[in-house]
Amino acid sequence: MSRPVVSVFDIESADSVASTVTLPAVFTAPIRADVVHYVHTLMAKNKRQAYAVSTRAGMQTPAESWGTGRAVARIPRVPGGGTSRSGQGAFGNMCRGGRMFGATKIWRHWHKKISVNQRRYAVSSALAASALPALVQARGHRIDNVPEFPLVLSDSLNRVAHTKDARAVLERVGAYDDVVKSRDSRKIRVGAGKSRNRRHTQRRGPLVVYDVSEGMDKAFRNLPGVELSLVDNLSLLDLAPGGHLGRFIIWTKGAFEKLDSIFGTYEESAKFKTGFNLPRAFMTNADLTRIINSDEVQSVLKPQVTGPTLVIPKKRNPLKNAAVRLALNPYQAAVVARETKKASADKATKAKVIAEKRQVLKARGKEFAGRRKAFYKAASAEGEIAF
Amino acid sequence: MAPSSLIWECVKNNSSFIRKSTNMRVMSSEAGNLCGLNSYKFSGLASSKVLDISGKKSGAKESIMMTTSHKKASRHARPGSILLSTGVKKSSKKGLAQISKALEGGFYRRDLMEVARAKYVKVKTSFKKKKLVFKSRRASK
Repeated sequence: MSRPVVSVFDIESADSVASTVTLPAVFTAPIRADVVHYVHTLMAKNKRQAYAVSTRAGMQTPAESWGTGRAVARIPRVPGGGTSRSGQGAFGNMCRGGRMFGATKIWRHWHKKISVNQRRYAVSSALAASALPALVQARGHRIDNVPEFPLVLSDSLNRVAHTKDARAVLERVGAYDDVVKSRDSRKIRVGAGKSRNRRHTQRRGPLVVYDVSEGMDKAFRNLPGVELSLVDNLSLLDLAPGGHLGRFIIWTKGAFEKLDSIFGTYEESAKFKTGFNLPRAFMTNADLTRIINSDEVQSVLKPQVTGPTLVIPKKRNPLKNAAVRLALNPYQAAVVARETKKASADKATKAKVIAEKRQVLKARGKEFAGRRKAFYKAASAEGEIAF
Repeated sequence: MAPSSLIWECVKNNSSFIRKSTNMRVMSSEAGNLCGLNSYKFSGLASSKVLDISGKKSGAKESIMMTTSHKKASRHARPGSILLSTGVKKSSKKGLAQISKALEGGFYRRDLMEVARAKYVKVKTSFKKKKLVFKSRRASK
C-alpha cells in the first residue's frame, strides 16, 4: 500500500511545516471495529477491584429448622428466647437478615486474559482509525481546525514546560477546541458513583503521544481532557475509549517515527514486539463501489434484465370518476344527457313557477301596501289617539 | 483513505452525530448530509463524494450553500478542507440550473439529483418571511 507523507508542524505556528515523515505502516492496518470492541470489553475488566459480601453475612446464628409438626414453615429458626429475634427465620435468601442468594465471592474471575496478538491487532486497528478524520469526528472530537491528520508536532514539543505554553501550542495547532469541549462537559456523575470518589464525569480530549519528555508531561497533564502516553506502551483503553474507534491523537515527531520499529511494517517484523507482524486485511481493496463499477467486473456481467414494463395504473373509482364510469358503462352517456336535459327543463319550469309566485307576491304586496295607506289615512282623519 | 463502506460500518451505529427520536427515522447531524438521515447514501462522514444543500445566515444575509467534498483525495487528511462550500443562486431557474450543472455536468452524485433540487426549493421557501395577517373582527360583520 502506498504510504503518503505526513507534515510535521512547528509548535510555534500551525502554518509552518518543519519537516515531513512517511506515514508509519500501522496507520494502514485493517480497521476492525469488532476486534477492538471485543478486546476492549475484556481489557476494561482488568482494572477492577474485587467486591463481595462478607463470607459470614447472614450466617452468624446457630439457627436450626424446627422440622415438621409445629405449624410453621421448615426454614431454620433462631433458637433461644427472650428477644424478638428468637424464632425468626434465618439463613435463607428469603429471610429477613438471611444471607443473599449466590453470595458474591472475591474469587470471581475479575480479570480477563487476552492473547497478545489480539491485543496488538486491536491497538493497530485503533491507531489506523485515529488517522481518519471521519472516525475521529464521529467519535465526537472537535477537530475542524486541525491542519492535518494524523497530527504530528515537532520534537520541540517535548521541551514545553509550562501549562500555559502547552495550551498555547494546542491553540495554535487547532487542538484546543477539543480541550474546551472536555472542560465544558464536566458534570457531576449521575448515580451512586458520585459519592464513591467518582464525583465528576467529562469527555476525553486529545491524547498526546511522545517518546521522550523533557517536561512536557507535566505541562500537559493539567489541561482538562488531555491525556499523555509514551509511544512504547500505547493502551487500547486510551486509543479507543469505550471500545469506540477514533481517538484524537497528537504525536511528537520522535514518537511518530518510532512507530515503524514498534509495530513493524508490511516488509519487516516489529523490532520491539517479538514475533509480531502487522495484521493483513482480508481484502486489499475494500472499496466495494469501485470494485462493482470496475471494468473487470462490468465486462463479465450479463446484460441487465429489464422486467416487464407493466405499469399498473392507479385505480380510479368509477363511482366518482366520470371518464372511468363512462368507459365501463357506455350507456351512462345517454343517462347523463337525459338528466341534464330534464334538469334544464326542470330549471326552466322551476324558474317559471318562481317567477309566477313572485308576481303573485308582488301583487299582494302592492295590495296590502295600498290597504295600509288607506287605513292610515282614514285613521289619521279621525284624530289623535288618546289612551 | 479508508473505503467509504468500511467507514460506514464503523460509524452507522455509533457516532456522535446520531440523533434518535421516537417514531422517526434515525437522523444524523454531521455537515454534508443532504437529508440529515443516518444512512449510507446521505452520510457526510462515510462518503468520498459528499453533497449538501443548506441555507446559511450571515448577519442579515441569507444564502444557499452547496457543500461538496474536495476532489483531491489528499485533502481528505485535512479536516478543514474536506468540505467545500459554494453559493447557489437564489433565483430558482438559475439555482436549479447551477445544481444540475454541478451534479449532472460534473458526474457528481447524480443519484442525489432529485433530492438536491427538492432541498433547494425547500431552503428557498424557508427564507420567505411569513406575513401574519390579522383579521379584524369587524370585517366579517
